[in-house]
Amino acid sequence: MTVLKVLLFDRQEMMQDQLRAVLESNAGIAVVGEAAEADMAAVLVCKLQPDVVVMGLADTSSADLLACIRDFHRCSRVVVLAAQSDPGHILRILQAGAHGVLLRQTSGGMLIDAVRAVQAGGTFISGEASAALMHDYIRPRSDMKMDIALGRLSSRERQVLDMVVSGMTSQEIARQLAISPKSVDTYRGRLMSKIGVSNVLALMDFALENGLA
Amino acid sequence: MSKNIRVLLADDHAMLRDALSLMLGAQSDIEVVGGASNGREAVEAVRMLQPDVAIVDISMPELNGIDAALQMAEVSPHTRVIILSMQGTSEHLYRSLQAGAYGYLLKGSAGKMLVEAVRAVHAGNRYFSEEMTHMLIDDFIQQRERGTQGSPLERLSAREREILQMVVEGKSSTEIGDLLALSPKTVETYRSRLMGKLGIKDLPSLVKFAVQHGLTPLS
Repeated sequence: MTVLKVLLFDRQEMMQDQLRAVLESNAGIAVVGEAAEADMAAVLVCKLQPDVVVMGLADTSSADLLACIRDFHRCSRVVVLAAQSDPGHILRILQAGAHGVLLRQTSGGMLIDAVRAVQAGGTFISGEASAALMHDYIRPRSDMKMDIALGRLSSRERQVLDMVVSGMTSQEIARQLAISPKSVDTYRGRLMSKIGVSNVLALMDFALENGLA
Repeated sequence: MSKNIRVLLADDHAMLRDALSLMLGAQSDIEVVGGASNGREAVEAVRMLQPDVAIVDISMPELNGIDAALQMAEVSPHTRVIILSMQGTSEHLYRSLQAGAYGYLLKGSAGKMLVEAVRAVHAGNRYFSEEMTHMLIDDFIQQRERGTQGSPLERLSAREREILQMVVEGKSSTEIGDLLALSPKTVETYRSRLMGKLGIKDLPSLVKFAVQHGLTPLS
């Protein structure tokens, strides 16, 4: 197996030591150099031509470090240890050309996974680093109406809803759930007002429209 | 060595499935537990086998990969989906992520990328091929700039999309009704409703729309 050459770049020396220990615990990875300053890192990247640069961001205001990513990503794969999971921060790191993003405080095992994963050619974003970004990306356009309406229902109400739209009468539902028909009517009334419909016809329409029926 | 990652492959091209299966199976930490050649079969296989990772093509007959991913999340919540497709528009990407996919690779990506993608998503991380990363960044930025504006497909419910695909694949209302346990009349209702939502008046235009939006294979 070929050994991956990794260069470490972090302004905090303690962090460098930790990262080195983690990476060198893996037989397939060799740390070929370390830098605490951007200039030094740039020189080492040119001279040593590492396969992967692992660089730590201590805070979100490091514009000069984003410029480094932009420089490095042309000759090496770049894994960035982000300061926090704020979507804007993660986005700027990816925009600068990083191939891997994880949070600074994540476990060592994940750093090794990330180094291997970016070496294969794709972009690795850790679960923690991607959570807020994905949430923001997906949320605005999703079909909120049904999610909100259904989210307001209790599990019993949801159960009754499914039975109503499948065509069961209050009596039948009552028998199946071992409750009184009157309770069924109460549940049905409550769920209809939560969804915002005033009669069963409109309820069927809602169910049909949202693929529940 | 850690336990095997159990993988299911869903693609309508048997040869590709076999090739991927060989390649993945050669990894010491990956085991291919099953395959499927259309979306419906894939959902059923995921329900039965409860794999850790499902590698899913978008363009498959009967049920496309994105809607299959959505259903997989219901029948096996721990299964993580990787989309592996020829198609890679921002709409495909967006809808895949919305359906809960963790990774997205284009066909033609190196085999070792797929291996790493399997490992990454199994551990709860995200993995994208380079083109898709750029797509994600650009689309996210555009979305922030223009505010919200959905694609026409999002106006449809999951059921409507399902029926749309079967309609354009030439199934009759009775056949669709049989498959989905609905009366033909209900199917007709869905059909006219979805065409109304899309502003489409005839079947040829509907077919064109479905192909353009990757709901159904070209052939």
